[in-house]
Amino acid sequence: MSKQFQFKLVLLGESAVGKSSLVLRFVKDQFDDYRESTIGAAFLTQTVTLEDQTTVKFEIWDTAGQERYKSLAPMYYRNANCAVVVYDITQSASLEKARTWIRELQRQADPSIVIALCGNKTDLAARRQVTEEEAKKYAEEEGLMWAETSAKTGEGVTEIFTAIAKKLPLTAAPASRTGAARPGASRAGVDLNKQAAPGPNEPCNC
Amino acid sequence: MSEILNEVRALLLPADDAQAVLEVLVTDEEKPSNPGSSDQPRLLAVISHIRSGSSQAGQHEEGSIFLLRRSPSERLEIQRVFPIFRDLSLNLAQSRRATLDLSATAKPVSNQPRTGFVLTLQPGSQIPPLVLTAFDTHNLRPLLSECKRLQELALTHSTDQGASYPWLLPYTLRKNTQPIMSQTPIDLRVLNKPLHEQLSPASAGLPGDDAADSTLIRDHWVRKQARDVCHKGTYRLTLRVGTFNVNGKPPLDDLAVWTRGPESFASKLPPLENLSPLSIGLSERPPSDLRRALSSNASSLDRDPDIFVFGFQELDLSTEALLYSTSTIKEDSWTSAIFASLGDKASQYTKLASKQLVGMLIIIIIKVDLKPCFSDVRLSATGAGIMGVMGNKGGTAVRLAFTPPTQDNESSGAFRPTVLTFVNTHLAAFDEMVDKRNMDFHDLSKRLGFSSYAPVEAINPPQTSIYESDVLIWMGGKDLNYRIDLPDGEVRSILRTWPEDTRYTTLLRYDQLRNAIAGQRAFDLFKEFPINHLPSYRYGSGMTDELGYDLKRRPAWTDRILHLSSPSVHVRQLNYQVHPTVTLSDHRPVSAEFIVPVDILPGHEYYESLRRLLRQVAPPSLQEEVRPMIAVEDTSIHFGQIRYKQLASRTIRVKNTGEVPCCWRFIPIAPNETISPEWLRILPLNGLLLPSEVALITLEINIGPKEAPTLNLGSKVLGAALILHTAFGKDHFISVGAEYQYSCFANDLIRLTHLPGPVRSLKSQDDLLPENRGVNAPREIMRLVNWLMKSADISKLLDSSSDPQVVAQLREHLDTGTDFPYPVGDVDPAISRAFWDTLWELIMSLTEPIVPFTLQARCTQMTSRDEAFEFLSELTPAAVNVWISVTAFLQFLCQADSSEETARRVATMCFPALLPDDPNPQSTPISPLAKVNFILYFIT
Repeated sequence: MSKQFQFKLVLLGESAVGKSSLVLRFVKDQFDDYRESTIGAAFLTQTVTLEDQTTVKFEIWDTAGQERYKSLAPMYYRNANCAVVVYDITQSASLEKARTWIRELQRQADPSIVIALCGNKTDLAARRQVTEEEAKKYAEEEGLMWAETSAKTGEGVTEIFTAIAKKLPLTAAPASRTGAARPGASRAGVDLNKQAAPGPNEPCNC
Repeated sequence: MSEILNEVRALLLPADDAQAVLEVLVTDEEKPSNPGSSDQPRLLAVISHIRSGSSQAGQHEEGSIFLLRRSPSERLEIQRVFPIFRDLSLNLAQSRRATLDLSATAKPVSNQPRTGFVLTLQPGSQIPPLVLTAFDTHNLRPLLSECKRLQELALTHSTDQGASYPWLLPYTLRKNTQPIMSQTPIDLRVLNKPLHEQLSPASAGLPGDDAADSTLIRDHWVRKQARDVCHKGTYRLTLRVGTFNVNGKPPLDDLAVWTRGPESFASKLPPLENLSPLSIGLSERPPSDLRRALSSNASSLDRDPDIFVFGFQELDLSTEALLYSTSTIKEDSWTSAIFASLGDKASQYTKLASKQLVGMLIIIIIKVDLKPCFSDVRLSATGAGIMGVMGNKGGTAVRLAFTPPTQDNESSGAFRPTVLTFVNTHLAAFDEMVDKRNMDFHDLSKRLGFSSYAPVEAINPPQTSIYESDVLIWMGGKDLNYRIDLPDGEVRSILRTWPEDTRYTTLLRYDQLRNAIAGQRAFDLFKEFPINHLPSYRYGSGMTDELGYDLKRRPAWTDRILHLSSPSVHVRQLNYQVHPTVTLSDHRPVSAEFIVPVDILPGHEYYESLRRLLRQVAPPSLQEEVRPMIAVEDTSIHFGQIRYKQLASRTIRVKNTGEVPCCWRFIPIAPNETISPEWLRILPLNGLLLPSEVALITLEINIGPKEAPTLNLGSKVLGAALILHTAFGKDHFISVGAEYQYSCFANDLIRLTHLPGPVRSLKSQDDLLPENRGVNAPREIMRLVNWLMKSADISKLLDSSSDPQVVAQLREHLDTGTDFPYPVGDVDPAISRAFWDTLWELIMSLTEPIVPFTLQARCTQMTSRDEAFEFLSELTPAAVNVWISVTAFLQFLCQADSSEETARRVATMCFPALLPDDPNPQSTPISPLAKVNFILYFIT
């Protein structure tokens, strides 16, 4: 049987850089032109299968980018195995903001956290303010993963998440943290202490 | 095994039945290396359900296998549910004999499993099997044949995948032992605990157990909705309850005053509107915490009670009676005496049930014409005396179901019954035994219970708890036996000499039972009506004090009546009295009258609604597409300016914008923190929204003496982030802001004397005068005292009451430094009273009392006026000035009619504010008598 891993991933970055859109593209392969800004933190999951058939399940926390909720961010990146810090390639200020987030993560988050810097909105390359070289150089200096994406066209989205999955230490199985079912722990019947809702393949789906 | 079968049946819904049970051991597939986990036996039960039919086939039967286990409290709970359908396979094999474990740590060999049968339950090809071991071959066979029969039925109806077994839904939706559909009321201790305290721990980014939380929220919602939908009004059930420790005496006195009330009931119609103890308590209560007499809040029933409940203790004091006695001679004589006391009403009543255990007897008497309304009467008795079982202490209890009467007889009995439980106990005696009494209470709470089949004597372990009721009334005489923790002389003196309006409130602060409830050591959650009567114990025939109390025993309220009810049953107590004219015993009997608004809920309709609602809010499948979604309309709330004791509220609209029902709850930002800062209240804290439904959530700020001290020392700008979590969804952030307006209330004296001007004009919390430049005494207190000195209508001050709005205005004038709008001279007594109340409110809000707690013990040692004045030198100058000015006004007040009585009344009214008790429970209590004497030195 192939190995299964589960990791907590958090998205950070300035408001309106496209964090929620990236997640929507990654999880559902969809795109909304007019998304309302996230006020809060949404929890989603998506599984990536690697070439060796290892599956990596991401528990994704998509957080609000607005400045006034900044104090809540540590609650979401604590215990995170990886972070995707997003900036908008058409807004150089958003890269500055990304740098602030990265400094905070390096200071406050779990020291083993894998950080990816992600320049979003490559479909708007005509209005580019942040050059690839500038961002890449910064990422190299800080030892971060780096990629550019377009949540709108889907370009680079799966790739960056897959790259993160490969970079994560797949030797030690991380403990389940958010109360999600452990792999292999699914049971027949309805375990009333675990799940009120039987899954589709379980007998009491009434 | 038939007993266990019945125990399983008790968990089932009416249409379902248990056919066979079998004890099994689970071979834990998750932890094969840990055989310890499989040691606890489980039960396998075959449950059948008659499905009445919309299908052409008409009725047919469906089956399911339940795996049950015992909770730590020995209660059965359903652990897993396997519908019996085509693909379910059940295989049997002889097990290999396990190797005996002879190591020292292992169990004795005799306890190790014998050879048994291995049962493999395979619910479907995709699901791992459940492997069980059974040793009970006798019951194995019927279980297997029953499974086979039901499976054959399933095949003929070609049921696929068990998906059409909706009758199992209530069982699978429940986390707890009790299916929501159960006829047994939910434990009152659970029902009275706020739902948010029952949810799993969660905080931002750590969502907790969403599945379990959703189940709790859903059940709560379903119960409330079903009741709202089916509710057809209430029946006012009237009760008169009495408790009497008869000290072994026979019923020689006329008991009428106790059984029927001082005036024969129904002789007149008292005004019953607005008589809730709560509403009166609030409106009568002065804004300060100086409690006044509660005498006016008692009333009596406007008609004959439907039910009389009488609890007796110490019916029989003979030595042989200490063992379980079965004699009913005493019971009979007391029953006759009760009926005799009812006079011409006696013929309208009949005895429904009684239960005696040695000296303890409980008798239920009901109106004859209501007899058809009573059913399922169950009795219980438990000893708690010597060795924990002897019957000299303990309790007897009666549980009954009351179904409201109907006009048309045909639907009678179709209403859902309301369960009432009455407990009569006699707890450990003696002042110093308070811990034993508390223990007895917990012990009886556990052991007094009712077996399922009425009216069997409950000697076997009980199955229904006394708390599984809609209303529980607990009475006891010598008792509940709780005493007053004050020296003997002091109790007597306060009872004899203090004005009625402060006598009881003062003594009750030292009442062991009140303190045990407040400290959650016993009778947690129970309610007791305000005591405004003399202690019921101990009256003597020999050496007594002026009130008739025995000189050898400290008077105490040992005989009490308390109640606990479901939040949906608003029990109203009308009165609480002692009857000193019934003198046969060393105790005096105590009585209480209640109105219980019994729900009129058509039973069938109610359970149908439960089913329908459960189906409506059944958990969605876990696919991402149907994630619950809600929209919070305003995520940023600003309250503007907020003031001390001025309620401000805002509403948030939350809409379910998704396609499935959504459970939501507020969670704290970090683990172990509160959901909101203490100055902010959220109502409700959790709920369920159907698709496109809108909920209104209220945010409230009401800053009182508890919250203000911190706020007065902090920044004016208040802010908070709230997190509204939707189950399986996201965390929504709501930011709340407010600008606090500093108040002179809830500060300390030193800080008040260093304010550069009115507190409201402070630029920041640190905007104070230099340390050595403070004023002599807080301006705010002096302004109030000066006004009272100059303008108050003293003659009516003590007996008038104030308008809370005027008090609020006065607070504002003090905080802003603006002039009082009331000219010196002819003033409305209510205005004077408002100044008086404001003064005490301000003094009581001080974070440190005028005389610090550490110095208060010294007060009690002052033996003369000179010493008392001398003592003041221990205080800070500001405190001395306040003390002198306030007591000077009190002296002025007392001189007005120069009676000793007025001075005592004033001193007993004011001492809780001038010399408050140290709230630290470790502190040594200081005599209220001595405090009053100290104050008297200054005001007479």
